[in-house]
Amino acid sequence: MKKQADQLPLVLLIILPLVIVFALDLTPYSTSIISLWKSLNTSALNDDKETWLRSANTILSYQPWQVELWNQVAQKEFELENHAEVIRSYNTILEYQPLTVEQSIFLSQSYLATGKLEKSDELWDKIIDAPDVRPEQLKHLFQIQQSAGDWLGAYRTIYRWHQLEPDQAEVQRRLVLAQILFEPEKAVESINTFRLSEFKPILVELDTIVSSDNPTYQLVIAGNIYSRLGEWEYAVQAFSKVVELDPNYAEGWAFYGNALMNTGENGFFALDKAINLSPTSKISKAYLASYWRDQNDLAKSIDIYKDLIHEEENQPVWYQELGKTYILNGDTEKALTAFQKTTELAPTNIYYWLYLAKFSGDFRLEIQTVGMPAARQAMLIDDENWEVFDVLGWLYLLEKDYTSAERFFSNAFGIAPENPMVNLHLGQLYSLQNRDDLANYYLERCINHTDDLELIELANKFLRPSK
Amino acid sequence: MLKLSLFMRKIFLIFLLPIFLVDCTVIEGLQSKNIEEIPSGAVLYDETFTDPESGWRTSNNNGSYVIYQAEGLHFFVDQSNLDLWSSPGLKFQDVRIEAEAIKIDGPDNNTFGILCRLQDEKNFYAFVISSDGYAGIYKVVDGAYSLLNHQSMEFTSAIRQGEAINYLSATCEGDQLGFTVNGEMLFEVKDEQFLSGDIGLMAGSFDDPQVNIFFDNITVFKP
Repeated sequence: MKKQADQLPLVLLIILPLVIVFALDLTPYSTSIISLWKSLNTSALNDDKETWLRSANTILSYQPWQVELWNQVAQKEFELENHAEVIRSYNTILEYQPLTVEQSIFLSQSYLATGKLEKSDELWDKIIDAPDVRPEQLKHLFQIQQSAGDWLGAYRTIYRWHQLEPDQAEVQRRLVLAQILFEPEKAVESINTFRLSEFKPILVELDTIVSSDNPTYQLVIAGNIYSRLGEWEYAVQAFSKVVELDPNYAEGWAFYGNALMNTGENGFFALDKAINLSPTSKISKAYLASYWRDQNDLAKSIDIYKDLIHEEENQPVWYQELGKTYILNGDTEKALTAFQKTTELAPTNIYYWLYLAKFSGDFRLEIQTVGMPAARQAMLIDDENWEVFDVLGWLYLLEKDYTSAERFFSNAFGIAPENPMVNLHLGQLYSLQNRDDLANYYLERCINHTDDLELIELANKFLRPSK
Repeated sequence: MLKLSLFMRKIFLIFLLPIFLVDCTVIEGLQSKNIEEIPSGAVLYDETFTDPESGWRTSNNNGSYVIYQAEGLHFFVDQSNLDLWSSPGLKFQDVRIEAEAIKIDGPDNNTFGILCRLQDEKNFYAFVISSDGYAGIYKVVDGAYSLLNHQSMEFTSAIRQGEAINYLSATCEGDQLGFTVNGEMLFEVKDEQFLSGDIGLMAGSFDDPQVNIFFDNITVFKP
C-alpha cells in the first residue's frame, strides 16, 4: 500500500504534461506561427498584399519547405513587380521540386524584367520543350516573347503551338506570318497546305524573296508584305533588320520609320535619317508627309505631297494622299478634286473609283454628279465585287431611293452574305422603312459576324425590340 | 294561226323582252368592267436590267455596243455621228417613261435619252439631253430628225453636266409630249404623227466618239 502511495507522485508527474498538453491545446509549432497561417487566409489580409507577404515570409523563414506558400508569395510579388523576390521564391521551390510550366512562365518574365535575358531564354526553351505544355500557355509565351522583341523565340513557340493544334486557323496564320520573316520557303508551303486565301496574293512576292540572295532586298519585300497585311510589329522587325544590314539605305529608314509610326511609336528619327541620307527620295518624302499629317501639321504635309505631284504628276497615289490631307484640313472641295484626279490617272483601277464614291457619300458631296457615276464605273470594272454593290446601295440609301438601295444591297449580300457591312446596311435600310423584323435579322447577322466594336455599336443603335 | 302568233308575240313582249333587256344590261356591265381604265400613276412596265434575257435589243458593231452590263444597259458609241438605240419590243399608247441616265465617260458633247412611240429604228419620238447641258424633243420620221421644241437643242441648268446621273422623264399622252429632267419640266409640245409604239433608250455621238452612257431603273407609268 505504501509502495503504491509512493508511486502516486511519479504517476502524476508522468500524466501532468499530458494533462497540460490537452488542457492548453499545445502543438509542436509556436502559437505565433499558427496565428500567422490563420491570418493568411483572412480576406482582409489578402487585400493587403504587403502585410500578407510579411506574414508569409515569416512563416517561410521557419518552414522553408512550404512549397505552395512560396508559390503564392511568388505570385503576389509578381503582381507587385518585385521581380527579385519572384526569382528568389521560385528558386527556393526549385530546391524542393521542378517548376510547373505556369511557374516557369512567371519566372521567365521576372528574369526578363530584371534584364537576365539569358536566363529567360533558357527557361523559354524548356517551356517550349516541356511535354505537358498547353496551347494557351504557348499563346501566352508567344505574346511575352513578341513584346520582349524575341521574334525568333516567338517563332519557335508558334512552331510548337502548331504541333499541338495543327488545324487551328489562328495558329496557322501566326505560323505563316513568322515564316515570312524566318523561313519564307516554308511560308509558301504552309500557305498552300493550309489553304489560307488571305495570303494567296503575297505568294508572288514570297517567291521573289525565296529566289533572291540579297538579304536586305528579301527583308524589304517581307516588310512590305507585312505592311500590306497590317502586321506592323512584324514590319518593324523586318525593316529594323534592313537598316541594321544597310545603314545607308535611305528608303529602308523611311520604311522603318513608317512601320514604327503605325505601331504607335515615334518613327520621326528614322524618317529624318532617311531624308538626310537622300533628300530626293520619293518614298522618304511620302512617309515624312504622312508623319506630318499624323502630327496634324497639315501645311507641311500638303507641301510635301504637292512637291511629289510636281515630280510625278501621273502618279495617282500622291493625289490620293493629298486628298486625304485636305479632308483633315477641312477642305473637302479640294479633296474631291484630288480624288477625281486619281480616277482620271488610273481609270481602270477600281480602288480609286470606290474611294471617290465612298468619299462622296461620307461627306454627302456631289452624290449624284460624282458618287453614283464613280460607283457605276467601279461596277463596270468588276460587277462581282460585293463592295461595289454595297457602296452603290448606300449612295441610293442616302438619296432615299430605298428600292434601288435594296436591289444593290441584296446583290452585295448575294456575293458576301457574311460581310458585316452589307448586313449592317440592309439592317439600316429596313429599319428606315420600319420593317423591324427584317431590320433586326440583318443587324443581328452584322453583330454576329464582326468583332469591330464600332460596327456592333452602330448595329445596336438600329436594333428594335421584337413585337 | 294568226291569233296564235299574236298571242305568242304578246307572250314574248311580256316575258322574254324584259329577260332580254336585263341580259343586255348584264353584258353591258361586264363589258364596261373589261375595259376599265388603268388608273393614272400605275406602273405598266419596269426594268432594272438585272436579267440579260429580259428582252432589250443589244448590238455590237465596230466597237460600238449596247449591252447589259453591271446591272444596267450600257451604251458605248465609238464612232462620230452615230446614234444607238435599244427597246424591249413592246407596245404602249399613253405613257410616262422615267429612267436614270449616267454619263460614265467620253465627251460632254453627246446625246442620250428616252424614246417613245417607236415604230422602227427610223420612226419615233426622242427626248434627249447632252452632258454639256442641252435638251430637246426630236421627231424622227424615216430617219430624218426634226426638233419639236425649238430650232436647236436648248441649254438648261436642270441638267447635271459631265459625269453625272440625270433623272429623265418623258410623257407621251395623246398628242401631248412632255420632257422633264431632274424634276424640272423643260418642254411640252404637241404632235400627232405617232400615237402608239414601243419605248426605248438611245445614246449618240456628234463629232467626238467614245460616248459612254449607262441607263438603269426604267419605269413606264400610266400618265
